[in-house]
This record gives sequence, C-alpha cells and structure tokens, in this order.
Amino acid sequence: MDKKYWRSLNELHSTPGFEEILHREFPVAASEYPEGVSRRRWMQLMGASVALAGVSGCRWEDEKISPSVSRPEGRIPGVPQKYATFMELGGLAESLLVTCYDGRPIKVEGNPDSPQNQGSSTVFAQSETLSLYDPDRAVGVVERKEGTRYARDWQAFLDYADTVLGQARQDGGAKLRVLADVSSSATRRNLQEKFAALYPQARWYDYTANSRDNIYAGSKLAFGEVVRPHFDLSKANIVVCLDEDLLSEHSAGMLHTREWAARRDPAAGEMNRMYAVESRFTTTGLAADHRLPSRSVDIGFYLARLEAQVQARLAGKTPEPAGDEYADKVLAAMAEDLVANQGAALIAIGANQPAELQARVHKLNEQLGNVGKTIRYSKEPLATDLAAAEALRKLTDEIQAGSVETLVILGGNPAYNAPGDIDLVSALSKVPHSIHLGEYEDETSLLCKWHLPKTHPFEQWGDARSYDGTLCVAQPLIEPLHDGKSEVELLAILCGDKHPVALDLVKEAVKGSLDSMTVNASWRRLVHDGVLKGSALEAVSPKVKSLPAAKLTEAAGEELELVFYISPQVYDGRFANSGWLQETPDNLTKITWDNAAIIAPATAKKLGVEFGSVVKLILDGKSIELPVYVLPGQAPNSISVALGYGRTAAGLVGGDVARDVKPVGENIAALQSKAAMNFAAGLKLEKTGKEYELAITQDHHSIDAVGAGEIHGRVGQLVREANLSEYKSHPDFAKHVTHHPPLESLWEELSYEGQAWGMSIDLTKCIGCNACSVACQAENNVPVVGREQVLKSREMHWLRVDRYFTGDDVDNPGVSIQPMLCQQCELAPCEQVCPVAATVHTDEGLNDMVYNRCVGTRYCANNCPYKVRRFNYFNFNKVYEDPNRKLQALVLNPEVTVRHRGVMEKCTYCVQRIKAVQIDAKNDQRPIKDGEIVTACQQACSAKAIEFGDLKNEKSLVAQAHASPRSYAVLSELNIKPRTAYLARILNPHPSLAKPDSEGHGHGEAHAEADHPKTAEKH
Amino acid sequence: MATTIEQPVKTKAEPELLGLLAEFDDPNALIEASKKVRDAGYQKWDTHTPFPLHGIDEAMGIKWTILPWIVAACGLTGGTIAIGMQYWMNAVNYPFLISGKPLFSIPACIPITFELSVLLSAFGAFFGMLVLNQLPKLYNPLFKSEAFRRATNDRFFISMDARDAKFSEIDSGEFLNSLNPVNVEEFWSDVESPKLPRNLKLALSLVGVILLMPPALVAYKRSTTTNSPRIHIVPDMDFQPKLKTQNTTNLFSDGREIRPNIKGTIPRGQFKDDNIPLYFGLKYLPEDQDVVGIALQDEKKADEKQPAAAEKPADPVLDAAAIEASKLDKLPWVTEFPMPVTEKMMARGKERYRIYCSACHGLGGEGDGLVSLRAMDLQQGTWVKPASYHTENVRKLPVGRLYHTITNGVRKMPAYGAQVPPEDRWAIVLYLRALQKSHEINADTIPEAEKRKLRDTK
Amino acid sequence: MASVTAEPIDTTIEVPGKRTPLVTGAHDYGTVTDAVCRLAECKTPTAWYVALGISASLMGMLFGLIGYLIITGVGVWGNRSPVFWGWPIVNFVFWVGIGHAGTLISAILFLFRQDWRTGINRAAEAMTIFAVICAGVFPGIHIGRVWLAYWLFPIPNQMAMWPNFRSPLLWDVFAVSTYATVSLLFWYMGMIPDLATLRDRATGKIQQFAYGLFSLGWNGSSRHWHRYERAYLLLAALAAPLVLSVHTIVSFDFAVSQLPGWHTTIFPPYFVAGAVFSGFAMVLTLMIPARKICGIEDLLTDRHLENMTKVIIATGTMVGYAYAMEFFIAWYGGNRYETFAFINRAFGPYAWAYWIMVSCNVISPQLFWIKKIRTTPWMIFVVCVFVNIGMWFERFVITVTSLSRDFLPSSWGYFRPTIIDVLMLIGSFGLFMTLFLLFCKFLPMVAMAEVKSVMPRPGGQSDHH
Repeated sequence: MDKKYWRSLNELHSTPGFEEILHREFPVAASEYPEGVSRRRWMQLMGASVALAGVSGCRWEDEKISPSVSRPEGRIPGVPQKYATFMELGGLAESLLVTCYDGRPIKVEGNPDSPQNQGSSTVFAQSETLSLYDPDRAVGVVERKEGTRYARDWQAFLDYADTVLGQARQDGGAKLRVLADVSSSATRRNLQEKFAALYPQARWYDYTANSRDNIYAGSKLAFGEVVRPHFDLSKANIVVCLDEDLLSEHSAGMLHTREWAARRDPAAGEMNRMYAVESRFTTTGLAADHRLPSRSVDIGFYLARLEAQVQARLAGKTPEPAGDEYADKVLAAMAEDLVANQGAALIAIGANQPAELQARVHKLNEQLGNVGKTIRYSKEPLATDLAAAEALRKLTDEIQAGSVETLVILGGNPAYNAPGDIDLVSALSKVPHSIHLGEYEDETSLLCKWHLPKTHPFEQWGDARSYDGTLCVAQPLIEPLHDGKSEVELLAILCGDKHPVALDLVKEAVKGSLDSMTVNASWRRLVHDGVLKGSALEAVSPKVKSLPAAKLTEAAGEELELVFYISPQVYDGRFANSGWLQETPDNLTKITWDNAAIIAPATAKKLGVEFGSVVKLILDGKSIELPVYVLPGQAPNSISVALGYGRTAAGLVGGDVARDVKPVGENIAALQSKAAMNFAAGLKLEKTGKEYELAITQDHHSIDAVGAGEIHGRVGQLVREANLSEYKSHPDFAKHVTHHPPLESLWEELSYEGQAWGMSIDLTKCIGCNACSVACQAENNVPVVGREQVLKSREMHWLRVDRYFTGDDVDNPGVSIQPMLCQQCELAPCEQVCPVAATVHTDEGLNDMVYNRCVGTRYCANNCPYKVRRFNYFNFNKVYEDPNRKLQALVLNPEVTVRHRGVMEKCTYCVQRIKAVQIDAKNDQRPIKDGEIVTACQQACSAKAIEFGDLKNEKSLVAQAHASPRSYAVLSELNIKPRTAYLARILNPHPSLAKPDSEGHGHGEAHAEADHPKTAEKH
Repeated sequence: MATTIEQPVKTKAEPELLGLLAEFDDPNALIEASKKVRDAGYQKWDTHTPFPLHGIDEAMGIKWTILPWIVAACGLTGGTIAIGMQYWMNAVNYPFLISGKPLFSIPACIPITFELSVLLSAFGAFFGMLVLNQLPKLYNPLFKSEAFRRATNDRFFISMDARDAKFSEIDSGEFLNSLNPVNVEEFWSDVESPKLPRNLKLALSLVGVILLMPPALVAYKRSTTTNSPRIHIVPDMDFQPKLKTQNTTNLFSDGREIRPNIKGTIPRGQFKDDNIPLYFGLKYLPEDQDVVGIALQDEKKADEKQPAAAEKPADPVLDAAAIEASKLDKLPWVTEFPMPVTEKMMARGKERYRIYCSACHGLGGEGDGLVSLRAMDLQQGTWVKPASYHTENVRKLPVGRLYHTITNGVRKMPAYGAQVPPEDRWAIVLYLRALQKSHEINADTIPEAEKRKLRDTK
Repeated sequence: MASVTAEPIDTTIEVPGKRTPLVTGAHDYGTVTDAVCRLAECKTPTAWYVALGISASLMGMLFGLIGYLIITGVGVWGNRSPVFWGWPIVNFVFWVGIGHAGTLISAILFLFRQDWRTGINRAAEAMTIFAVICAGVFPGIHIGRVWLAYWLFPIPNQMAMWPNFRSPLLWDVFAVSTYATVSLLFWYMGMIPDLATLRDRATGKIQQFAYGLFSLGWNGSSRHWHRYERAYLLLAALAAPLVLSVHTIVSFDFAVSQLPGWHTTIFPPYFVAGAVFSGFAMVLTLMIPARKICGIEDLLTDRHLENMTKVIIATGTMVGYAYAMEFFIAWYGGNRYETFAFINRAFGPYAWAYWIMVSCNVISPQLFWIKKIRTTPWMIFVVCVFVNIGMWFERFVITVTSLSRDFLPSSWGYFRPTIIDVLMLIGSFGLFMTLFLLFCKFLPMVAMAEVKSVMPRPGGQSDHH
C-alpha cells in the first residue's frame, strides 16, 4: 500500500484494495504494540520499533534529490516562505501567517498585520498543520446505500446532484434545506443569495455548538437591535468579568490579553485591576486580582447586588458597610472601583448567561459611562433571526414531519453536537437525500447518503471577517490533498456552476471593499497581507431602552448545577483527532485525553466523591458517567464538564468505534437541552463505585499531607508574587525571597564572547493559555505519546506550564502559573554528569543536546533541578513509519531532527531559528538586530510575556527585563546561573481585600533587609 | 624402581634420566631433608608440597623474589597512562565546555587514575608470578610418576635434577635414601617428545581459524571497494521521517516533496505592485496579466515554415510566435533604470553577467560563449546561436524588454527569474548596456593613458 | 593412613592461650582433600540438578526479557519522569554491594592474618564474581541505546569523540570493570593449586585435560609457592583498597549529583559499610545451605558463621548510624530541599519502603547479640535473608524516593514498577544461582591448600602465625 500515491487516492479509493486497507489499518498497528495490548491510541501506531531492522534492510538508504523542473520565481529550495491566510471558528476569522517549506505548510503563526492578534496565535491555529496532514481526513466522495459504503467520485455526485436539484427546482426547493456552520464569508453570502434566488422556497439554517445567541438576544433586548460589543482593555482600569473568559475563550481573546497585559507592568504606568465572578475556573479567573466563585445560575443574583450598590453610590448614598462574607467584600470593592473609575472601567458578561442579564450589563456599562470609552458597539454581521439550537430543532421537526426531501449540511458535525433533546440523529436517517460536506467522515457523514470531502482551510480560497470586522482573505497553501472542495465551491455547484473557480468567486465577493480604481493591485495587496487594513466594522452608538426593573433574586440554595463549556483543547469536538491538542494539558486541571466532571473540594466532600471516582450525572432523566476531578476554586455546587469529547467517528486519535478505537472522554451534549445549552440547575449525582485514572501531567498522584505542606512552603520561592503596594515599597523583593551563602564556584568560570542568548518570562502577564506549549510542539517536532504514556508521566512537552494553588482557602485559592522550559544554565548540572558528553555548552551559552551522541543514561534528567528534560522511552515517532500514517510526516519541521527512541531531548531556545537568522546576518554582513530572533513560544504569546535575545546587548528587551528589579531566577541558589529569568508576578488587589504584604513571599521585610548584601544574587 | 631402569629399550632414541624424586609423608621430615640437601651443596633441586610449607624457604635457601618491584612499576605505568589519557582526550584532542568547568582538573581524575593503577599492578602481580614461575607449563616429566600425583594432596617430595653439577645417579640416589623418605624413584624423559591428541589438535586449529576470521574480514573489507551502501544495523536517527528539501516521496504522484506554487497566491515579500518597473520592467501592468509572463517561442521554426506558410497562410505556429512577439512589443517597457545606477551596481552586473550569461553569450556579448561554440562544432541542429548584443535590433530594445528577456527567457534561452533576484537582473542589464556602448566607441577617441590602462587591466 | 582421633569441641569458644582448631572432626590433609573434592568427583545429588534447573530457567527468562527490552525500548520498565532511574539501577547497586564480601573477606582478612577466612574465602570470592556479573548486566541494558554502550569506554569511534571524564558514571565504568577483573584474577590465582589437586585426582580424560589446562601445570614447587604467596599477598594488598574504592565510586553516582537525598558526603563510607554488610549476609545465605549439601561443615564450622555474624552486627550498626546521621545533617544543614527529602523518605508516599529498610537493616541484625541466634545456622539464615531484603530496599529508597520528589513540585511523581522490572530482578537471581551452582559442582569450594596450611601439622605446630 505504501507504494500508492496520496494524491492519487481519489483514483484508488474506489478499489476494493483501499477498502481493505481502511480496515486492515488498525489491526496491523495493534499487533505492533509492545505490550500487545490493543485499543491504544498513539502507542498502537508506535509499536515496537525493532532496533535491528532499518528502513531499507540493514544498509544505508541512498537519498535521491528531485528538484522542481521549473522553479517559480522567488522560491529557493529549502528556504521557507510565509503566506497570509486565516482560519475561521464560530464565524470569526483569525488571520494567520503560515510558513511553507518547499510549498508545504509546516508552521502556523499569527499574522502580525492583523489588528486582532498582531502575530500571536491560538492553540487551535497552531495545530492546523497537524490536521491538514491528518491521514484520517476523508479522502473522497462517498455514497451510502442501505448501510453499505460506496466510494464515488465528484462526477458521480454531480450527476446525482443534477437529478436531485432538478426536482428541487420544480417546487422552488420547498423540500430543500441547508444546514451550515456559521460563517462570516462574503463569498458564501453572495452564493447564499444566488441559492435563495434559485430555490425561493428552500430554507437555510445556521448552526454552531458555540453560539453567541444570548449576546444577540441581550443586545436586542437592551438596544432593540443586535450589536456586537468591542472592549478596549487598554483604557480600562477596572475589568469585571461575570462568567466571561475575556482573555482566552472570547473570540477577541488575544486582543484582550495583549491590551490587558500591557496594563500589567507596574513599572509602566497604572496597573489595571480585574475581578472575575465565575463558576468554573477560567483563564481569566486565574489572571484576575479577585475571583469570586459562584454558580452560573447565581450570576444574576450577584449582578443584581452589584447594580444595587453601584446605583447607591451613583446616587451619592454612602454604601452600607460590606458584610464579613468574602462575596460581600468583593462586591463592595467592585462597586467602589467601578464608580470611582467611571468611563475607565468595563463589565463583561459571558455568552452563556441569559439575555436579561446581558441587557442589564449593557445598561450598567452605559450608566457608568463606559460606553464609547472602554466599550464600543458595532453592527453584528452574524446575527440570525433564529437561535442556533432553535434552528436545529425547527429543522428536525420539519424532517420528522417529512417536509424535507433534500438536506445539504455544509461543514460542522450537528449529528454529534446536537443537544440531547433534539433527535437529529434519527431524523437524519429519514431524509431521502442528505449530503454532508466535511473534512472527516464523521458522525454526521455516517448518517448522510453522501459524504463530500471538504478542503482544509489551508487548501482553499476564502474570505471572512475577524471579531472587529477586519476583512481577511485565505489563499491556498497547497493543492487539496484529498480531492476536496471548499464550502463555496460546493455552494456554487448547487447553484448550477459545474466548475467553479474559488479564486474568482472570492475576488468577486470582496471586490466591493476594494479600491475600485486598482482592483487587481489592491486584491493582490489583500492576498499578500491577508487582511484589509481599516476594514473594521464601523461603530454604532445605540441607547439602552428602559429595562424591566431587575428583580433581586436570591441565590438558589444548595442545588447542584451542571455547566457545559466549549473545550479549550478540542473546541466543539472538531479538533478531537489532533494529538497535539488532545495531549495539551488543560491549564488548570492539567487533564489530557479526557473530559471530567470538575467539582469543588467542598462539594466533593459533601457528595463523598474524590479524584478519579466515576459518578453518574443525571439531568432531567438523561444521564452520563464521568470521572471526578476535584478542582480548588471551582464554585461550590457547580459541576462543569467540557463539550467536544466522546467523538465516535473522529479518527484513530480522537476515537473511532468502527475501527475499535475508544472515544476520548464522554459526549456531554447528550445532557444539553435547547432550554439549557450552557448550564442547568437541578443536577443529580450518583456514585457508581467505579474508579477511572485520569491522565494528568501534574500531581500525577494525589499529594499526601507531607507533600502538600512542602508545596505550600515552596511555591512562594518558585513563583514569586507580591501586591502592588509591596512592590512599590520594595521593588526588588523578588531577589530576597531565598537565602543562601554567597554563590561562588570552586573554579574560574569562563566568560562568553559574542552573543549570550537569554530569555525572560513575565509572570505578571502570563495567563497560562498553553499557546506557547503547542507552538513549541509544532516547531520542534515534539512527539505525542498518548494517554497511556501520560499516565506514566512520560509526556514530551519541551515547554510545560506549571500550575500551583496558593493561599489557605481551597475553595477560593490563588493560582500561580509558571511556564517551565530549559533554563539554559551557564553552569548546567546536566552536562557534567553525562558520560558521553552528549549535552555540552556552546560559546554562546546555549546548553546543547547532541541527539546522535546521546546513549540515554538519563543521568542528565536526574540531575536537572527543573526536570525539563524529556526522554524517548519508546520510538514515539513510529507513527510516521506506518505506511498508512505516512502523510502525517509532512507536518515535521525539516529544520529539526526527529528523535529516535532512547534519546534525551529538551528545549533548545529554538536553536534552528537562531542559526537561520545568524546565517542571514552573516551573509549580508550585519549585526543581528534585537527582536530579529523570535522563538516559537515567544511568537505565539498573545500577552507578550516572553522576551528573547542577546543579554550582552544592554539595549535588548531581554537584557532590560533581566535588569528589572522584579527579575529573578528559579533555584538560583544552586549556583547554576540560569539564562532564563522570570519577572515576579505583581497583583493589584483592592486595598480592602489585600492580604498583608509580608505574605507576598516567604518572610518579613526586616529579615530581607538584614541579609540583603549576603543574598544578593549575581546577575 | 629397579624395573624402570631395566626397562627394555625399543627405540634407538635412548630415554635419558632427568632426575630423582624422593617422597615424604611428613612436612617436618621434608624440611629436615631439604636442609641436608641444601648443605650437601646441590643447586638444581626442588621440593614439592600440597600447600606453602612454613620454613621451607629457609630450609632450601630460596632467595627473595623481585615480584614487588614489577608490581610497583606496573602501578606507576597505570597511573601515568590514566592521567595522560584524561588530559589528552578531554583537554587536548577533543575539548568541550562542560558546566563551565575547566577542561582538565586533577580532582576529577583521581578515581580513574586510582583504578587504572590498581588494574595494571594486579596484572603485574598475576602475570609476573606466572612468568617468574615459567608457567603455564602443561607438560612436566614429573607428572608421569604415579606417586607424584599426591604432591598436590598430602605427600611431600624432593625432586633432584640430573643436570645438577653434583648429580650422579648412584650417589644422589643413596644420598636421598639416607634422608629416609617413603621411597625414592627416578624420572626419565620420554622416548619421543610427547604428542597432543589428534582431535585436540584439530579442535585447537579450528578455534584458531575461527578467531582469525573477523580480522581477516575486516582487512578484506578495508582493502576492497563496493557499490552497495554501508551496512547499518540500527537506523537510529540516520533515516528521518521528515522531508528535507528536494527529497523524493511516494505521497505525491510526481514523487517530489516540493509542491508547486498555486496560481494567484502571493508569499510575504513578493508583493510587486508597489514597484512594477523594478519587478516587471514595465511602466504599468497591462490589464491582461498573462502577457507579462510570455517567453517568446522559437521564431526559427516559423522561419523554416515560411514557404509552407505561403500556401497555408494561417500557420498557427507562425501566428502564435508573431502574435506573442507583437504583444510584447506593445507593452509599455521602461526605458530608464528603476533604481539609481552606481559603480557598485556595474561591478555587480559584470560579476553576475560572467557567472550566468557569458557561458553562452560570451564575455563580450557577441554570442560566442564556450557552450555556444561547442554546440556549433557539434552542429547541434536544435541549437540556436545566442543573439549578439551588438546587432541593431538588440541595441534599440528598451532596458525593460531586456530585463523581461532575462526574467522569462526567449527562444532557447531559459528563464533566469528564479535564479537571479531582480536587483541583479537589472545590474546585468546595466552591464549589458555598457558592453554595447563599448562596441560603439571608436578606439582613436580614447586617450593613450586610458588605452594603456585598459590593456593592463585585462 | 593413621587417623588422628579428635573429640568434638565447640569451636565458637575462644579459650585464652589455646588456639581453637579451624578444622573440626578427624581430618588430615588427605581427608580434607577428599571432603572438598567429593562433590566434583562423586555422583551429583539430584537436589543440585533441581536447583540448577530452576535457576537456569530463571536466567533464560532474564535473557529473554533483555531481548524484548532491546527490541522495544526501556519504556517497558516503570521508569518515568522524574524517576528516570528505577529498578535497574537499584538492582545494579544491590548486586555490586553483594559483590563486596568476597574480595573483602579474602583480601582484608588475609592481610589481618585472620586464618578463619580460609574456610569461606573461595566461595565468597566466587560469589563476588557472580554478583558483579549480575550487577554488570543492568547498567548495560539500562541505557536507551544499548547498541552504543561502547561509547562509554575511551574507544576510538566514528565521531572521533571521547567520553566525558568528569562524569561519575564514567568513573563507575572504570571502577566496576577494574573490580571485576582484579577479583577474577584473585579468585583464579587462589584456585590454581586446588585445580592442580583436582587434576591429579581426576580419572576422566576430559576432567584431566580441563583441570590440567587451567591449573597451568602447577606442581607445588616450593620455589613457585614462594613467588605465589608474594603475588597473592600483593593482590590482596591491591584488592583491599579497591574494594573500598568501588562502592565509594558507585556512591559518587549519587553523591556528586545535586539531587536532594543524593547530594550528601556521607555516602562513600555509608555505601561501603552497607556493601560489606549485604555481602556478608549473602555469603551466609549461600554457605549455610551449601556447607550442608556439600558436607563440609568440618571445614566451614560454626565458628566461621559466628565470626561473620559479628561482622554483620558491626556493619549493620554503622549503616544504622548513617541513616541517623543523614537525618541530622539534613536538619542541621537547614536546606529546605534536603530537609524535605528526608522527611519525605520517612513519612512520604514511600514511607513503607523506608521502614522496611530500617527494620531489616538496623533492627534485625541486632538479634545477633544473642549467642543462641549467632550459633544456630537456620536462625542466622533467616536474619540474613531479611538483611538482603533490607539492603535491596535501601537502594530503592535512595534511588526512587529521592528522585520522585525533587525541587519543583510540578514534576513530582510516583514510581510504579512494571512486571518486567520484577521479573528481571528475579531473573538476575537466576543468573547468580546458576553460576554459583556450577561453581559448587566443578570447582573446589574451599581453598584446600590454605586450609591445609592452617591445619595442625602431624608434628603439632601449624603454619601461618
């Protein structure tokens, strides 16, 4: 099989041989698994790498070179080119800059020209290259008749479409329906109109599992029209988030993070202050100065109290003194700050909260005069008259009523995401002509008569608008690998255009927004830039209508609630087959390869469940079994579960029951209902007595009392934090947290000539969003090891994000986040213990790992105090050798060695990027500019928390960061002289809530002063 | 024992008497006897005991062994080797930076130095002992004596060597008997020298052959050449699943890892509309974009077809060529260089011209490059002689058109757009213009000095 | 031959002024030889075959597993982050430790003229060799790319690169290989005269040839004996410091690192004491049954056993002191990481291992203060088995517990062995026992020549003062 060409699969896939492969694929892999255990995910594909059998027998294989016959102008073999494009999630575009190597996309980065992300990118974007080359993607047109699967080709479908649509045209498409994933593409809208003109009776439904309908409804309620709020955190001194993850899950998260972080540098102007009231622990809650855990159902209650207090203060009344309850204090502080900072504050409420609350928040913002300053409104292009769930129900009903002949499903996977009370699954099978366009043959495809392969975002022309409305254009970076067609192409086909040219369609659609004089030139400019500058949505200034007076509801007792949320790893499940994302540990729970019922410690105690015990969640009759994860800081009586898991037809990674691969996690959508898409009270919970081991990358086992105590004592030294007030009084507090004798070596230390590479990470800005971790994985060919190996704590991430809970209150702890990667110690402990000198120092101070010299004694890892070295216990890259998975190998970065088993590996400061720049600089004989070398993690960081550069050059940003009073090195007392400095985290609590300064770190001031000279670290 | 003496002789080779063997059953008796033998002044004699007998050394007057000195010497050698090795290997031959530590430091050397000294001393002691004792000595005439077998068990022997000056068969025999041993016997040399058993010989020689094989193979391999690639048992990281540039792969039907550009896509840094003259050699882009990419096809073919054309006026080839030519002529070529013309640019142009163009067009641009000349020699029918720059119609071409020709090629000339960046193309055009100028100048107009200079600078 | 009749005496009592005989029963030189050579010459007891069968199959399993390991990867073990060194290294240190008694008994006791060593030194040395072989197996297969193990030696290779002589692991390579070689020489050299004895008594052609070959034509010449004794003394003098150095250097593997719980200066003495401790325990565990089966109680008397138990009390107490001292220093040093490392040992998730170690290594040997136990073979046997277990756990505690919780709590983990780990440990015992059984059968278990030299001469006085 491996002799077959991938591009020629479309010819191949109709042969019985191919069918046979599809089914043989898994068993072959299974038999290779070292412990002979079947139904493992990546391990099964990895298998035993027989050390004694080379790729081509026992001899060196001779590499052939095959250059392109006519090399396109401007392309030099092996020199990467960057193309602007975008990816669209929930109808909002994230503009990207994709690095192509010889015309193959290998790395995704944010588009620096995009006003939204300015070069940073999300984990989803980072993982797009992996999904592009996913061997499990649908390879061709497929027809299903009475349960049997026939491989067809596009011609066959066109013929079919003619007949079906021919009939549809008769009755104006009265029985024709389209169910589409939401999109902001102008091209699609054009075609949609064309379609409507062609089939006037046909109906078009938009559906997404991550709907923002509440926001639409809220603004409609408040303003009488649907508008989109835009937040400007750079102007906001006070940010209040009500069940809203403004920094990461919000569609403009990266913009928000950047602006928020810009206001978190205590040395540069006034710091902002952020409050979060939320049920589950979000990234925002983790970054907030004050966090109030509250059930989602109680948000209304707290909002009402906040309103009351704010009104009172606005009315000039002296507010009644806050009660002793923490909640009271926080609300009081919030109200005080909001009123004190009118016009420089903002309140944001989550899309999961009902319309009334949305409206009242609009009102409150208006009253506080924030509108037009920190908040501006614009038209909402995505607004639909029908809520997503509503649309889905309506369609289902129509089908049940037999009024649907033909159903075209454009993208999405409704059969999987549909809430439990909408029985789309059984309905679909009733549709005589159902057509699904999707990248994978997923749950929906299995129920449809026809499956059409959809092109990957990197294979197609397209256009869309980002959250602020900026027009983005996608250009294809590679010919479709799987004979796919894009959404617009299929639509064009449905509109009768047999051979649509996507390029022209898109160009036609965006023409309107281009300079009419030089259309071609400005189109080329648009394609080149990826974004159209100044095409953001123009602001509107709606006025809030009088709202029904807020009735002060009481917090609804002890009742359990269930909160559904879109997974930060696999989104609505569409990324379920991405090993990178599945293995990305959730930034708080650290869970990989699973979703769990996240419960507060208090609640867990009350219910008598603990970490790992499997419970049955029962919500109006329907039930689902999930393992428990006890998360400090989770709101009491609130249980949150991530959507997007339990895919049954995702692929060999995400689960594929047909091929006997267990799903990852459980699909909680079954408990969703049209009424309760986001959260629902009245949850019942039953113990099953079963146990399930969750694969988590931190606290691999429940920490005993001894350990817990020690951690509590250590965290203050590892992640150094202080309140703003303390920082002001004592800026270099971080340098005196640990005490140790003067650091002197027994020998003369060598000094470094030339550049001295170094890094700095600002813990005040870092929100632990994992973007850096996945970016590193993509850049450095970091392998995925699978759930079973994560359980054995053998995950390979070069850059991990450590999470520590601080404070004494387990129900509302602080969280300290610390990205941990190789610190490139100048006196590296790992080097001296390696018997074969496989890890040595360069004259630029890099701690090099020489893979082909490493014999794998693992001594270096033992001696690494940061435990950032990773070992290849098996051949974790075996997957690329499997003929059926070979396509996956295209994702590998040619600049980075793929490590074999038995070899140690670790962060290299992206040495390949350093070298690339050095070579360029050398060629044009110029010094390297500061900021010219950008590591993958630094590139991805939306908070700009990471700086990298030459420490020798005082003007470089990283040198300045190292010079900052806040800078400190973790475990510097070991005299290993790390090249990576951390900037201590500064919190800006409200005075009334601030803890006494001395708790900021280990000990009191006097003490620090006392041994100040002695403890001063060399820097 | 008498029997042994009167033993009838079968072979001509006389078995010769090697010495006498006296057996005792009491160590003390042996010691006493030894004293007597020593005093009797015998030199070549020895005693044999099952265990080291205390006091026998004095009794026999054995001299102190030099073994300790050998051991000491070995120990010193070991230590020196160790230090030398560590210094040379880590500090001289292949130094590397380790934890910022000095390349060589004594403390780190101590363990290995100690170990090697001990190792070599131990060898010294063991092998030294063997050598001094002349062991291994598997064959020993004494072993023929039945009685002597107990020498390693519970009996004690005095062996007297016949080669001893004082030795005489009779007297020595009596003398030994006088020491009241259990008995005295003689031991004789073999009639013919002892033979190893045949199959043992075979076995040994077989082992020898097998041992010789590997070095022989190595020697053979080192001295011969082969076409098959080296043997490589463990692939390790030498075969990478990643695709390096210009690799082959079976994933794509063209077998190439390189993917073609997709029409209409524009990578970063290749937005050309902001400087059309530079990138296209045109004043502005015509609406019909494709024209820009035209490379003139072979007009020669068209010429050959001329007569035919007369009969069939509409000759597609001719038309195509003609049409394209006319299209190109219509384009708004720039006549001025789109960038400042400098000395540096001229130098660059000369250099590039010599690298890329001179091979065909010749250093002077007459179209007499080496490649061209050779092609002419071989009378390659398909070869089109490169145009000389010094013809009228080339002279009058605008610079933009020249630039375009370099970029997209013309007739047999391939496109150089991919290989030569735009700035260099312009530099070449500049040098080309200079060449043309140089041909128009009348030599007499040049001042002598200049001429001389030109002659010197070839 | 006139047999010397002797009334049974309790050799475990030292009567002042009177030398207690080291050989009991009615023995003269001849009968000693007979006693020792019996096993080699007479019909083999079935027990031996059974034992060999079992241990050989275990050994087979070990090699099978090694093959599987090499094909699959070291992931088949329980090793993980942060416990990058698991059972294999524990086993290595354990076996190296065992491998100390032999050379120590021979060398140091020889230098101190402790005549009672003659009964046990041969077997002890043999045990050393075999233990070191077992030890050698593990670091070899422990590395990720076994096929490149030779890079650990300063051999010219295609990289034209040399090993890093600053690494304790490299010191270890030299130390252990030197130790193995020297012990082997020492053992073999001691055996030459006895091999000669076997040669001269051998009846079968093959035995004659084999023994003849390995006895190098030894003929008991006094001139040879003279140099031989010199050489033996020198080897002993070399081996003694070597024994101490080896485990010292093994302890450097840990002590030179900076890991809390490893990074302590007490390790060298503590490891050596531990090694002697475990070594003697293992000798006893082997010899008590062996002397019964081979019927050499008269040469390997209760007194030998008792003397060894005394050594065990001494070393056991030293080890106990070391444990206590570690805690003291951890507290006294005031380094929070060190302090925690030891608190964690005693009260953390691995407390169970720690307390097994303490009870087996510190408490159980104290039973030897009671003479009854000192002089009852089976009781000694039981205690020694416990000591062996305890010493294995000591290495487990040092290696695994310290690694499982180091500096950054984020990387803390809990090590669980896989079935492969367990089977390999068992397999290594199989390898050890197989070699030892073969030794008992084919080689002189007791140094006959030396025993004879310490026997009373017919005249009365004995050699060796």
